[in-house]
Amino acid sequence: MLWLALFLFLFDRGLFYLIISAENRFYRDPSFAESFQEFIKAKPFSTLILGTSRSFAAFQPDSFETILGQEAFIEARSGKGPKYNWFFYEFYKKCAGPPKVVVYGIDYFIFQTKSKERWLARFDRIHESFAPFSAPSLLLKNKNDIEDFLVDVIARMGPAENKAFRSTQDFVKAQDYVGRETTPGKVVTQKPRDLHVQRYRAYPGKEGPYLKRLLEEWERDGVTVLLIIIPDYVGTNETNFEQQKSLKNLKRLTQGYPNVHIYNFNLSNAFPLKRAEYFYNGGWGKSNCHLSKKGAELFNRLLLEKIAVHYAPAK
Amino acid sequence: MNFISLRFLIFAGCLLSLFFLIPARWKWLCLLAASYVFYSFAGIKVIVLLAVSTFLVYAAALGLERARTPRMRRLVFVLGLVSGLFGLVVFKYADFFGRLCFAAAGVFKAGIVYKPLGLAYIVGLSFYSFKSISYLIDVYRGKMAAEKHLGYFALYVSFFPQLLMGPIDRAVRFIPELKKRVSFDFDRLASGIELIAWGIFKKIAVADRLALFVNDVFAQPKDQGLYLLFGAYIYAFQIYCDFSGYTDIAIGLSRILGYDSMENFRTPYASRSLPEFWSRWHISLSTWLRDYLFLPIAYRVLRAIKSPTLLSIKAEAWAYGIGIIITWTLGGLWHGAAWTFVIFGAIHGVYLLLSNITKKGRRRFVRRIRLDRLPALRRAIQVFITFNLVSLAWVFFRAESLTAALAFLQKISRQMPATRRGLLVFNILLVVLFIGLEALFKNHARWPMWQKLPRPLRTAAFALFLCLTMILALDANNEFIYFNF
Repeated sequence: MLWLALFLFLFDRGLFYLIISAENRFYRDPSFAESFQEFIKAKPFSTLILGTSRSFAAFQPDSFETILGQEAFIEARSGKGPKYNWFFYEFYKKCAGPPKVVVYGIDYFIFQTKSKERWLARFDRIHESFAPFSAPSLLLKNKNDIEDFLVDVIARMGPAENKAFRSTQDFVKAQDYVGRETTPGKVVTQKPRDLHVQRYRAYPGKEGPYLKRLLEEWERDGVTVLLIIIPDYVGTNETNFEQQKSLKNLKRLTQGYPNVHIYNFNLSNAFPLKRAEYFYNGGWGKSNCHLSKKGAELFNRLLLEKIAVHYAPAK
Repeated sequence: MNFISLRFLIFAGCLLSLFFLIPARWKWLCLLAASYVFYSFAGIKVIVLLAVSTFLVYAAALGLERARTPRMRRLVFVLGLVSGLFGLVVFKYADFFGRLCFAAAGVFKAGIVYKPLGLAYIVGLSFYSFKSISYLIDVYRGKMAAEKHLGYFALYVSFFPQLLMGPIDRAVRFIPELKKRVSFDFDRLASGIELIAWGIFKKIAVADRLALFVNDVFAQPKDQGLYLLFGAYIYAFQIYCDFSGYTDIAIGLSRILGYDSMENFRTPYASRSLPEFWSRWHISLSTWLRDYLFLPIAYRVLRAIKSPTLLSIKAEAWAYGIGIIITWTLGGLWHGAAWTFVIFGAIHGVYLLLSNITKKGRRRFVRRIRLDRLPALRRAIQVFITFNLVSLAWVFFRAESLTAALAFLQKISRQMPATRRGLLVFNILLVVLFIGLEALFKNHARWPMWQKLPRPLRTAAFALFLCLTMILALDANNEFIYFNF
């Protein structure tokens, strides 16, 4: 038994070290900086949209242009949390200067999840440290990251379309994305007998301090920040039952920043949250939920109407 | 309770500590109580059904020994069979046969509509019912004496490692096994843990991963072309790893407790023919079907024909043909109350029949093309053909409906869309890894080189395997496929 424990300890560390070395090689792409700079200089972007996959499904840069006449750059994908956003914003500023407005999609689980290594790799921030004694099993502790890596390896074996959203060039395709059609049955519309609910993880959580740093930076840069609470299907809201707590937490965090404005669309009087066709997944028992193409169209109309005021020329 | 859960780990830890601490004469009680606690996670109703069915079959078996006339014996036997099968018929097949009867009545324009009972299927019911029935038939046939000790009989029926998905061990072998004196044995513990780890690997690192591709392909077969064929092949490995993974965990648990469960799988996809496949796949079910269904039917047919031939066909051939088709159609139905399972069983019945009919012709053909001079190639061709036939039948097993299965088969083409290429390549690599590891796992103990290795090195190999499991494990929380049967 002692031998087994010893070998488990050694192999666990050894294999994890091998995996992160492979990840470092796999994700690093020196062409990102150059191609990004080229892309960003092509248009005068006034708005920077940040967030996770929920923001990616919700915000349509095209609507910003047609309704407000503003060029918006979206940098939102699954695994792009506050830590990634911080490094991205620093990089963005170097390439294009600070934007006029930052639109930031707020998730219920914003302080619960971590930024993914594959995105951090573009700023050389992947696995910044290897701490062999930080957990009894590094393989189990980092299981989700290993799984993500495996999914990416599989995606790279596939065709070009699969890779497009996962590669370092993902930002090119992301600008034209207009949402996914509703798939019947994907949204859980029936409340299960034993509803699995999700507690809210408050600030600072896993990457909260990076959001705080961003808020400070945006204040210094004179950027107007719009924190948008994206609508969730009613079942998801019941699952994420500590909505009030999350809102209070967010308000407390942004106190003292006059440039920050919170818009809550996750209210039944702000958005039709009971209409399943406005979402393509989520529902009862599902903590994560994304707007469908139809839902995103409506959401963008409602959103842009409200935030237009921030683009009005100063009197 | 799922074997691969924290709850089960705690349960097993507590049980093992207690089991080896208490005196030998109370061990059966400890295991029986643990089995009922284990099963109670499926609900209280199911416990009542298990207990009542166990008691009635136990009483019927005792009644068989006490019955004085053959007529009385037969009556007690039938009553016992009804008690053993009651739960299975009501909870598993009531709606299926109800619909069938009403559909038949509809042919005569009876104008009545069947209202389904909608009873939820009870996990493990098919397995423990078959155990009870085999016991009753063995007592009726005089193969074994009725068990006098209700506790041991109840433990045989409800023995928790075998309760949900088998193996369907026979009472004649397993009750004496349960009665033997057991004590803690480190070697058994080590080999049991190895087997459990292997079973867990098969389930969460192979079967659950393969399921991602299979579910995708079966959900949207349109425009999948050749992926459908790969989907069928990969499903064959998914279901094997899923089911045999569970069996390995069950056998491993029994081994730690000191009991030897029967073997249920022997690398079935290495079979060279369909009869061989069924002697390697779900052995406890196939031998059950052979002993309690096929042979009685075949003997009955033989007796009914009375002459050496009928319509110029040997009576034995009639007996085999009728027996095999009925047995495997019912065997298919055992898996679930749906036409897809009936067809799955019937296909295997036809395979076995054709295999028997064409046996001599195939041998002659092999000699004519001189394939018998290349035994390795011959074997490879046989294995390939058998695997393809089995995979074809699995399509009916996996599909949601008969229409879906036929549509799936129709849509197979040479076209190969690029969308799932990465996942397919990964799955093929995973299957190759699995086949390699299985060969290692099954044979390593026989290798002289392995036996010469110092213990720490062997432990190192096991630790490496555990780490590989951690890396490949998928946190999908999928149930075992056979839980539904």
